Amino acid sequence: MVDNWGFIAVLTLVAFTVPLIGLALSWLLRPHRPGPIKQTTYECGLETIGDSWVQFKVQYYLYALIFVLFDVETVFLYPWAVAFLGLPLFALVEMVIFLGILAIGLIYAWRKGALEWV
Amino acid sequence: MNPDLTPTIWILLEAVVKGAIVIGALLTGFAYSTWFERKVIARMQVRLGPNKAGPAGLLLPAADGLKLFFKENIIPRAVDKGIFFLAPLISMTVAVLAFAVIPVGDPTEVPWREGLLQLGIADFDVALLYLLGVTSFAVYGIALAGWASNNKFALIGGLRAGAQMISYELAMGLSILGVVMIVGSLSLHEIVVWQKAHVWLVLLQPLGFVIYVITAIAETNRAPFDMPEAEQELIAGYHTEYTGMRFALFFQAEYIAMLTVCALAAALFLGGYSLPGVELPWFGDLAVFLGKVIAGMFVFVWIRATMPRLRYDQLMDFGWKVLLPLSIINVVATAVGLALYQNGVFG
Amino acid sequence: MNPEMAFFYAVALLMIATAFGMVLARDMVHGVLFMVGNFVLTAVLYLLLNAPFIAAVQLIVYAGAIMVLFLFVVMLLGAQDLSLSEPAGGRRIIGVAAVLILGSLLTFVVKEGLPAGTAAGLAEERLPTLAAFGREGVEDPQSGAAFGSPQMVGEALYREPYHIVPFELVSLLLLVAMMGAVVIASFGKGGVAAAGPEQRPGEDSA
Repeated sequence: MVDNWGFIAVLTLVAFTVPLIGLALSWLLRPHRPGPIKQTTYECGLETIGDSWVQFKVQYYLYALIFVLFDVETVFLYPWAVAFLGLPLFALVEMVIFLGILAIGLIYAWRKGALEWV
Repeated sequence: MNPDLTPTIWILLEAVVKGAIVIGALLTGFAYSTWFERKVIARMQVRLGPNKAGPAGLLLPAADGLKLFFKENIIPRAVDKGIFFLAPLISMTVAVLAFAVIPVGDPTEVPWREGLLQLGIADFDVALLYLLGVTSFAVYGIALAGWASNNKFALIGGLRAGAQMISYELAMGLSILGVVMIVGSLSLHEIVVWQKAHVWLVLLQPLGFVIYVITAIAETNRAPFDMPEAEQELIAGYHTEYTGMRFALFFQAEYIAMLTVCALAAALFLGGYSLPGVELPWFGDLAVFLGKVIAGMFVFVWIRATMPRLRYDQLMDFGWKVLLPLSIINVVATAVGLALYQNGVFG
Repeated sequence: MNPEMAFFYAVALLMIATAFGMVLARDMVHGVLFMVGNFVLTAVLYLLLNAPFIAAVQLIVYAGAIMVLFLFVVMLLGAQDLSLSEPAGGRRIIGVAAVLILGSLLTFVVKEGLPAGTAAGLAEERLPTLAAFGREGVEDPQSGAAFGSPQMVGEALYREPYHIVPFELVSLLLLVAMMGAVVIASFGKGGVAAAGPEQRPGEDSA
């Protein structure tokens, strides 16, 4: 166990360092000629009008919220699924009720048009 | 002080060497995936594809790499510099980390350590959950790149990618559950061993497999789900402002993620590194594993060459109204089937 | 100091640093990033406690889902609007007071242990056996799974019917949360689809 997580930690370090080394080497070797026009924001040939960091539409937020809820559900399902073969039949019923209640939530969101992307 | 530190040092060395090998292999895999993709797509479109740099264009990835390496990096004035720098690194690190729990062969005896050597970085009883956790981080690299660029196209690309990835992540997480239920383990190695002893899980989980494949394509933002970088609308999506090596990192992350989901598909549904009824030495295992990954990459390219891109609302609808209910039904059906099997209904 | 303690202190120091980074960040998106870092380090702490399942949940739910929601909210509101509002002096005092109270409570609990008789105290009385079980890395004699593994969690949660009421209540809670989200989001008469009257010209609707 400890071995395994240690290996992951080492891999994280290596996986972060290798691209950093690549970036550093490239930084040493590549040309640096910034210019006022070159450094403008990429657009269709005109100056960008207004700020890009504006309020976005609410759907993104809504999807993210429903995602969090279903993610929690998935997390509950995993230990159940792993232990499933050793569990009594009762556990199946328990989970079907759980999923049923969440399915109502999904149907509700669906019917209310929360899953429509317009 | 602990008098006997030598084993620890050896293990540490092993970890570093393994990490270096995995990253080296993934980067090589990335380079030749780009070549493979161009070549296969060209053949499908009755063209020749790369054929100038080296035999059959095999040196083209190296040429591409060198070009990107020596390219000037343009950093627009308007960007948030810190996050602009960090985002490609996040993408790349996450892509590599996801590969850590993929087994590429049976544990093997080696002279330098007690016990068996894992062929793969690690293997533990939460491997699949670890994988889901790490892949959920891929959203950050892309969404942050879009945000840090302070470019409208990039921001829309980043947000679209974010919403798309979280939507399909749910169905992906649920589609794997059937496998977990049947095997009763979250360790990928144990899942492969189970398939070695019984059957490939694709036969028991056909719906789960189909949902997994579709969500895998969506999670890696590949055609026909490549909305985040829809050229006609968004220039290049979240990496519009990225040039040179930084762009290369996103490019690498995308292909490494593709390799990882192919390897995962093999491990979960297609028997991993094993062939039915054959016991192979470690290099045989590795070859079988590579063959399956290449087959998976071919399917990726094939789908890209065949399917037109979805419209964004269709894409979200498909994820939430088709795949998510289907994957829940798959979980319930698998559970009922297993319960019936355990109670001897199928003899 | 053994290596495990040294590692713990390194992680703890980093956690404090990221927490300060989050609070002091001028830019909301930077704040969100610091918080993600903090949550990842919390997952490492859970691993140190020999609870890999909780660590994975921490990664998936907190760092991977809730923080994505935060990021979207920050982007949705437009980060620049929020950076303008400085906390007022009164709120600062309340903040410091809250930190002091919580800190002293935690110090008390860590030094003295939880009061006997309360639910938390009862949990602690039972905990030592479990904790010792985890620390020595003993295998569970029944299922063969290690302490804190998903198998153990599944067995504990779903084997006996004790947990059915809280478990189904969780799903009701999730249902209510989902309905709340839909209702809050569907401001205006046209439902969610109307995208809201607040939309200013020049805003994106992609």
